[in-house]
Amino acid sequence: MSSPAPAPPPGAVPPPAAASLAPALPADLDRSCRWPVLVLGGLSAGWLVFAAVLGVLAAIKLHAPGMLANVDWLTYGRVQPAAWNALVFGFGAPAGLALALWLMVRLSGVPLVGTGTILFGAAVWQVGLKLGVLGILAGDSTGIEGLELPRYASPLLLAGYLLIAPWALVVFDRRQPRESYLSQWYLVTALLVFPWCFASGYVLTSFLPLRGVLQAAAQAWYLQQLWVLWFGSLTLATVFYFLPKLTGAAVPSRSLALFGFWTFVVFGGLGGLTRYAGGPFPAWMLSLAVVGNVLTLFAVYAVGANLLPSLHAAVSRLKGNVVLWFLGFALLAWLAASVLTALNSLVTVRHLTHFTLVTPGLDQLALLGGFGLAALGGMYGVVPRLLGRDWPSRFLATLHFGCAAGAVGLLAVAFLIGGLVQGAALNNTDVAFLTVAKRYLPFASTGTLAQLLWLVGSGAFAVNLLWLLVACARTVCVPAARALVEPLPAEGKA
Amino acid sequence: MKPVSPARSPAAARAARAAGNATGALGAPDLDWAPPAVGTGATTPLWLVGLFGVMLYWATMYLDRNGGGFNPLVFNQGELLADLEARVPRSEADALLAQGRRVYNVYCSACHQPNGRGTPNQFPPVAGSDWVLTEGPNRIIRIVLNGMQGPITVNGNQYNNVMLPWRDQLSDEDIAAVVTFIRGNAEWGNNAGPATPAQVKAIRDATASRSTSWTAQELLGIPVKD
Ligand code: HEC
Repeated sequence: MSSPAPAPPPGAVPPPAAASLAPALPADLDRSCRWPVLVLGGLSAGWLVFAAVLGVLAAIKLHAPGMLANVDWLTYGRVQPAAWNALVFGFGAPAGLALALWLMVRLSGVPLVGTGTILFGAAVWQVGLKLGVLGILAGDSTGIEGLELPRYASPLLLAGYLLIAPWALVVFDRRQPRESYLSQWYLVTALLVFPWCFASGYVLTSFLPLRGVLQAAAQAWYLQQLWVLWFGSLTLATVFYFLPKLTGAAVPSRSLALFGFWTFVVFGGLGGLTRYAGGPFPAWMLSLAVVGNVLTLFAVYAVGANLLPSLHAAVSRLKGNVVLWFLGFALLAWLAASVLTALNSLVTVRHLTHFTLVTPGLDQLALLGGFGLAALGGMYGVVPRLLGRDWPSRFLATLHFGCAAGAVGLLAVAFLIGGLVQGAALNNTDVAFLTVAKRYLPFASTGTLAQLLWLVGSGAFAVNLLWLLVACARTVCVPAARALVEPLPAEGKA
Repeated sequence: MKPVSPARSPAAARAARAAGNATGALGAPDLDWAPPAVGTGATTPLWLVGLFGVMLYWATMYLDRNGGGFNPLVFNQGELLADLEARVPRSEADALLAQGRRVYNVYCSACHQPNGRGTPNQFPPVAGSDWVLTEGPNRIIRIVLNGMQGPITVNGNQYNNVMLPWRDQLSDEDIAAVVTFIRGNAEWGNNAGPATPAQVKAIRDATASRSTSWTAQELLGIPVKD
C-alpha cells in the first residue's frame, strides 16, 4: 500500500524542522516504543474489562442490595472501590502512560530510550495493583474514597510509575523540533502531576495521616489533581494531537493555546473542595475552590475555540472513521464536564445538587466520557501503526463506540437528572427520606444499564485487540515455524 | 543512541515515511511524524484578556468576602475572625461568663434587676455588693443553693426579705456560671474571680442534708474561701 505524503493543510504554518533536520522516520519511532506501548495498552485493556465487570456488580447492588450480599468479597463496600481502582489504575493510568510515551516519541521525533526499564516498571505496577485490588476485595481497603489501596500496594504503584514516566521526559528533553507542540505541554503536566499527587495523597492519609478533617481536605485535593490535572491533561494531549492531525485542520492560535494551558495549570487544581461544600473546612479553602473552578472556564473556552475548527472539519470525515468518533466525543464530554463542574460549584446550584447523584455523574462524565473515550480512541489510532496491520473487525470497533458513547450518555443524563430530582426532594422537608430513596431507584437502575453497555463495549475492544495480536503473532510465527520444520525432511532425504 | 540519521535524504525520508506508515486505522488517514499545524499569527483576543481581568477582580472580591481573611479558624463563608470572636467565646472562662449571663437573665434578674442594682429596701444589689465581691465565692454559692432569709446588710443598707433556693433547678455548672458572671461582670464594675463547677459540687455535697435557708448570721461564720 502506498500513498503520497500528506500535503500541509491550507493556511497552516509548515513545521520548521521538517526539512532541515530530517528527524527519525515514523516507522523507526514506532519501532522504538512498540513494546512498551503495546504491553501497557494490552494490560490496560484487560483491566478495562475486569473493572467493567466489577462496575456492573457494584451498580446492581445500588438498587438490588440483596444480590450476593452474603459473599464477603463481593459486598458493595469492597466491589465498588475495587472497580474504581481497577478502572483508574488498571485501565486509566497505564493507557494514559502508553499514549503519553507514543505521543511524546512521535512529537519529539526521537526514538524511545529505556524500554527495558519501562517494561520492568509496568510489571512492578501490575504486581502492586493486583495486590491492591485483591487486598481491597479481601477487606484491606483503607476506607478513604479514591485512596483505598492498602499500604502494601500503593508504594509499588509509585515505584512502577517512576520506572516508566521519566523516559517520556527524557525524550521530550531531546526533542528534535525544539518548538514544542500543545500536546507535549499537557503531557509534561500530566507526567509531573501524577507522582506528586499520588504520593502526597497516600502519605497524608495512609502513612503519616493528617488528623481530622484535614485528611478529607487532602483527599479532595488529591482527587482534583488526579481528575483534572492528570486525566484532564492526558485527555487534552490526546485530543489536541489526533483531532487536528486526522482532519488536517490547523489549531488556529498558539497564543490562545498558551493562555488556555496556563489558566488550566494554575486554576485547574484548586477546585477540589467543592466536593465537600458545607463541610467543616476553613472558609478560605472552599472559597478558593469556587474561584478555581470558575476561572478554569477560561481554559475550557481556549480549548474549545482551538479545537472546534478541527471538530467542524471532522464532521465531513466522520463516516467510517472510528478514531475520530471517539476523540470528538471525548472532546465534547470533557467540555461538558468542565462547564458543569464550574456551575456545580456555585453556592445556589450546590444547594440543590449536594449529596446527590450529580457528583458521581460528573465524575463519570469526565473519567469515562472524557479520558476514557480519548484513550480508547488513541489506542484505535496507535495500535495498528505499531503492528503494521489494521484492526481485524470494523464491526467490533463500531459496536464499541456505540456502547461506550451510549453508556456515558445514559450515565450522565440519568445521574444529572436523577441528582436534581433527588436534591429537590431532599430539600423539601415534607418528603420523607424513604420516598426520596425510592425516587432515586429508577436512576440507579439506568446506571446499571449504562455499566452493562460499557462492559459490552469494553469486551468488544478486548476481543478485537486479542484478535489483532493473534493475527500478528501468526504472521510472525507461522513462517518461522515453517522454516524450523521444513528443512527436516530435506535432511532426512540426505 | 543516535536520534537522527544524517544519511537520509529528505526524498528518501518522504518515501519511507509513506511506506512505513501506510496503515489507515479504520479510515484514519496516515499520520506523519510532524506535529499538527498551529497558527502563530492570531493573538489571544482582547475581549478575552479583558474578561479575564474582570474575573480575576471578581475572584479577589469573592475571596475577600468569603475567604474569612484566610484564617484557619473561620469556617463560615462570609465571616471574619472578629465576627467569630463576637459569636463564640474565646476561652473556657468566656464560655462560663456567657452561660452565666443566660442563667442570670432567666433566674435572677427579676429580683436583682438586669443591671444588678436590685430594688431599694426589697432586693439587695449584686453589682458592687460586698457579699458578692468577697475573696472567694463560698458564701454566695451557699446562698444560691439553699436561698436566704432574715436581716442582711449589703453595702451598709438593711434588707429583710426571702430569696428562694435553686438547688434542684440549677446544675453545678449553671451555678458556677452565674456566680462567675455576677462576680466578674465588668459592665457592673465587678472584678472578682470565677467559681468552678467542682467548688459548687463540693458545697452541694457538704450541705446536702440542709433543708432551711441561710441567714446572714450563719453565713458570716463561714470562711469566704477554703
Ligand atoms: C425572688 C427574688 C430573688 C431571686 C429570683 C433571686 N434573689 Fe438573690 N436575693 C433576694 C433577696 C430578697 C436577697 C436578700 C435575702 C435576705 O434579705 O436575707 C437576696 C440575696 C442575694 C445575695 C446576697 C446579697 C447580695 O445582694 O449580695 C446574692 C449574692 C444573691 N441573692 C444572688 C442571687 C442569684 C445568683 C440569683 C439567681 C440564681 C438570685 N439571687 C435570685 C431575692 C432574690
